[in-house]
Amino acid sequence: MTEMRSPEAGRGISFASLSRVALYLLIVVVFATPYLWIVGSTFKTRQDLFDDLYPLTVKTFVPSNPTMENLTGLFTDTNFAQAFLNSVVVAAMSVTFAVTINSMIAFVLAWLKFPGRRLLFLVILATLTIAFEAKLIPLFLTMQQLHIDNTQPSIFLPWITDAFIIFLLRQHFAELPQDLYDAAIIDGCSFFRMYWQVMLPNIVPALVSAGFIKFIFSWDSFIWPSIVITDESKTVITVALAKLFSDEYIKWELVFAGSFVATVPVVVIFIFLQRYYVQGFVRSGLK
Amino acid sequence: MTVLFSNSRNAQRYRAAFFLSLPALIGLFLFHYWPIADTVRLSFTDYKVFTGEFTFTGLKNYDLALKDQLLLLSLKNTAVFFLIKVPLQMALGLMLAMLVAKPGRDSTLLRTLVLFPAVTSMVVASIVWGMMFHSDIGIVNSLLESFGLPQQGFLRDRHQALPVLAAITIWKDVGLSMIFYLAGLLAIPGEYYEAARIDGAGRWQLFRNITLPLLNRTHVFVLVTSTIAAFKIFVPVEVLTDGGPSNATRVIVHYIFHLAFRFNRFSYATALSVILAVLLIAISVLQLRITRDEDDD
Repeated sequence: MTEMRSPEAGRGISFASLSRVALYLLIVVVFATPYLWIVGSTFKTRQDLFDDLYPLTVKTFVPSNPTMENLTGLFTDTNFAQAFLNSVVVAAMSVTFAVTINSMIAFVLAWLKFPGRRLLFLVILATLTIAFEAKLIPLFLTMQQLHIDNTQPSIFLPWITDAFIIFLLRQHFAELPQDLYDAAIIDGCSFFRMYWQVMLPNIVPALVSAGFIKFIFSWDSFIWPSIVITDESKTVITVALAKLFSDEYIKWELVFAGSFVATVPVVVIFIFLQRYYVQGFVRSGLK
Repeated sequence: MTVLFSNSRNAQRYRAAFFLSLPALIGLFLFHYWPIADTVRLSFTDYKVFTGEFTFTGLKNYDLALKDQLLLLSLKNTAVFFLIKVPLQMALGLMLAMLVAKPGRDSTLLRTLVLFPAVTSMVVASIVWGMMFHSDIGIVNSLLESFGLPQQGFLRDRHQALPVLAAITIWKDVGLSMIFYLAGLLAIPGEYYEAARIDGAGRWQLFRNITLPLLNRTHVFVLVTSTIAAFKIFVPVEVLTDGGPSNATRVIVHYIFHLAFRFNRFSYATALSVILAVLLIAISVLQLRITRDEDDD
């Protein structure tokens, strides 16, 4: 829209700026429509939902008789509230453990010299080449052997140690100045305190990146929880939503409300943490 | 004295290194190395559902795989899916990156919007696009009707289902490709463009001779990561088509998943997992090799 007020506009709208606006609009339509549809439909009655589909108008996206019935129905008639809570717990555990455990070994790989350190780093990075999907069956059997299948820890334990995060955090640790290390040594600081009080506070942005990326990963996970959890009260939001969608008689209005609950909080958090999310991927991808 | 001091420092350092690494090493062993080794081991066995025992059968599972028509079809579908998705996603990712590379408010807003799908779970993306492409109640068909165009089957059509799934995953993943390309673009020194412009280079020439070649490292990275992601396609298939219609969207991970967890054919499924893992490693090595050779020229 700002294109309209640009200097070129005074001399008549050029074809280039017009096609640019058209391209922008097309992109906005493709990327925003699904969200507008979810939000609008969540607050519509079932009747309006179907009535407003044909023909396609503004009414398709804006409820004419807004209702909270779908959201209250979702939380009272299905196990969605429980699944949402489970997803929050699993994500919180994933983030806490992943950031702690991976930052510890990342610090070691960056600063504590010992024989075989480079080899260890390579052996860790090698795990990146094996897809999680290829390990599903033995992982499932491992969980059974450890007698923790069908429990919440069995969901997040396999993905806590993460070579991607170790790599990302090692990069950031390694870029800290040597002076920091030397000063800590001269002060007689133990290596544990050096990790915890000297180095860690200096890479907080990277920790936020790693934590948020792990949060998104955990929130998104579907295939593994659907295998390892058989008890419906322990299920996560993605599995609960897919089940809602696969019912013989699909309650469309609940599917929209469920999609709304699964998406909107994450997107809102993302708007604030966007910078860290982007940095995390860019820094680890192109070095 | 100094020697002694440094020795005890060494000991302290080794001890700290050991304890700080221990939790991660346990995790790596239990959930990465052990399952990988176990996958290979199980692929040479036969699983008995009733006793839950695995008996050694040598290469039998791999023999079966060679004759498995459905496996062949899954691999073919996966390859077709990859061929539709990856080139399109790379081209669109680069285009979007160039569009948002100019600093400004509209660039920031557009970038944020294009990244929304990256943080939206694949299950939600699948469901929402599945409903939009629904042949009876979807708004895409509603849109087509508004323009007087014929209604489409989309996910119910044997020929359209796989391309529709590719479109859904491109929508979900293109934001990250854009981000990688954006980082690559911003790393190109502005002087290159100025010098070329002074020499009278046009926009296309700038793109062809500066932007594209200087993004080589980014191309490789995006190519390898999006290829691996394409070969692991699972969620939209499981949620929307279940491999149908008439096996048109049967893909490799979905096939393995169903063999193992619906039909209890664990051993055979692990053999296919090994094949998948080897395939993915081979693809990344091959792509790295090819693009590195180009770099040397």
